[in-house]
Amino acid sequence: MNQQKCILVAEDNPDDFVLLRRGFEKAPLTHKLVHVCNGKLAWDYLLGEPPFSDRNQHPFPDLLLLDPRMPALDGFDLLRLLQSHPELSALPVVVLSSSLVESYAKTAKRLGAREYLVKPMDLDEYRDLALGLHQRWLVDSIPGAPHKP
Amino acid sequence: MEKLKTEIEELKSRLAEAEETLNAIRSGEVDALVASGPDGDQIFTLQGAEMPYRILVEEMNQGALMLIPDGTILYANTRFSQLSKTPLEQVIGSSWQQFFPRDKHPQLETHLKTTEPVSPPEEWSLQAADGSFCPVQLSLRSMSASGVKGFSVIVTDLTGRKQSENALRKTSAELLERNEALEAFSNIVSHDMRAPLRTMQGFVAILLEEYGDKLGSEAKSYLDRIQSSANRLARLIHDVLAYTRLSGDKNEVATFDLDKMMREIVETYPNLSGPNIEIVASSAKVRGHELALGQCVSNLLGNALKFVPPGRVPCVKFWTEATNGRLRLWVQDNGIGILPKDQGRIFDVFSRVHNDAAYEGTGLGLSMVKKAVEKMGGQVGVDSELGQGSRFWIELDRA
Repeated sequence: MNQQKCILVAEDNPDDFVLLRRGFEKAPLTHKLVHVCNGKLAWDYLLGEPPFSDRNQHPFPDLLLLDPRMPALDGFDLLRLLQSHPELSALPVVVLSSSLVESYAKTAKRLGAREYLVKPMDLDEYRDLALGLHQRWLVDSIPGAPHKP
Repeated sequence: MEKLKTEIEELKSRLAEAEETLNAIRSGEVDALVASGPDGDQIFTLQGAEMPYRILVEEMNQGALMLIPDGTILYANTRFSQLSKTPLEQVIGSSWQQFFPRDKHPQLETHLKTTEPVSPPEEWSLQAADGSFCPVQLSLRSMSASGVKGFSVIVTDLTGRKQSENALRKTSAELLERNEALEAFSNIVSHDMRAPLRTMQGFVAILLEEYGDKLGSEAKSYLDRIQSSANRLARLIHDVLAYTRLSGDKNEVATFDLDKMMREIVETYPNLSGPNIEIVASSAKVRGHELALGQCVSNLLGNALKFVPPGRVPCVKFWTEATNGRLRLWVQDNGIGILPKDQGRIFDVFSRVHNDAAYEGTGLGLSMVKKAVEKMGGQVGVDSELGQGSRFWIELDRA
């Protein structure tokens, strides 16, 4: 069940990425976490553009975690691009925001994000977040069956 | 002597003439009004009776026109001449259409064909001789005088009203803009202030978890201090945001069951049970914003549980009371109570009565309650005695 998956994390705050990785370590979960620090790099990664053209080194992710506010193509812009892309639109995207503002959540859902989660304020919550993401998006179900919502 | 005789004859004949006139007036042969008073009869002839009407129409602050059915102006008053910046002699005899923009002429035609005796007032713009426009209200009334059909038109200048409307519109637009700015500000507070805080909290936790054993107890206590400060700031940010959100206009008024709501809120406090909490059942329904009121009740309950002296088991009681058309929800606790001098200010923003570390808070909880309840058209208040607990109440419209 606990097969290693790849999660692409688009996050401009490196501290938040460390805490998220820490949450997965505490779980403990061994998924590969790839960090890019803006939406543009995430887009390049997903398309396999240089410097991410080697798919052995830069595997296509099973899940995209997205901060809505980033420089150079923010999370919402990236969601719009993904929606309009025939192949990439199937990739599950979870928006991980530090904003408690409800309109953000609505926008994210409208643009096709599967979930909108608020970044935890402590490590135990980060661990729970990692476990939740794992159960909802990264556990292999019957091949071909859709992911649980 | 001869001269005197002639004079008397003349006076007699004048008297007879006057009496004849008076009789004629009395019998209705001549239009006039005879008013009998202590100083004798006063006569108002047709000419005299017309005066007040003339003055009224000539001097009134509205433009007045009389039209024949083809739109030719038979009569106009001075005010209309001023409004249209056209000499009176040029107004009379001309068509009324020339005082309105060309694209409105078909509508003017329709007005003159109407069979309604009175057309509802409409807003138009009057075009003056110099090409300028003036917003006006037109009231049309069809009339017939001595068999001739026509219309009377009253033209009211709306410039002043329009100016105040515009000023009002501008003010409300500015308010809206300021509200949006405030919302943007709270977004920033929510996002940008939480991010560094999360880093502090997260990394202090990592230090404590991973290196706790290697750190001395003093170093650990410093980290604890950082941790609790960060937690306090996190609560503050959370409350500021909740407070700003309550001031938004997006909450909808609905009817809902107060009992059910209170039970649901109580359930979110896992330590509250049995003897600690009592809800006196009522089937009361109130009108308000459910989410906002939920927040209020939750804040009051939170306070009731927080402000108890050390060692005392908190005990909270909810009940409702009907007061002329409204409903009062009471929340009673057995806590430390509030001095009468402090009871007035506890609902103020950032006002804190107990600066004791044991009763830590942001000073926003009760101001949030007040703001939300007042937005619903309700009221809040408190009865309390120091050491004897407090009874807070929220009063809302009954459904």
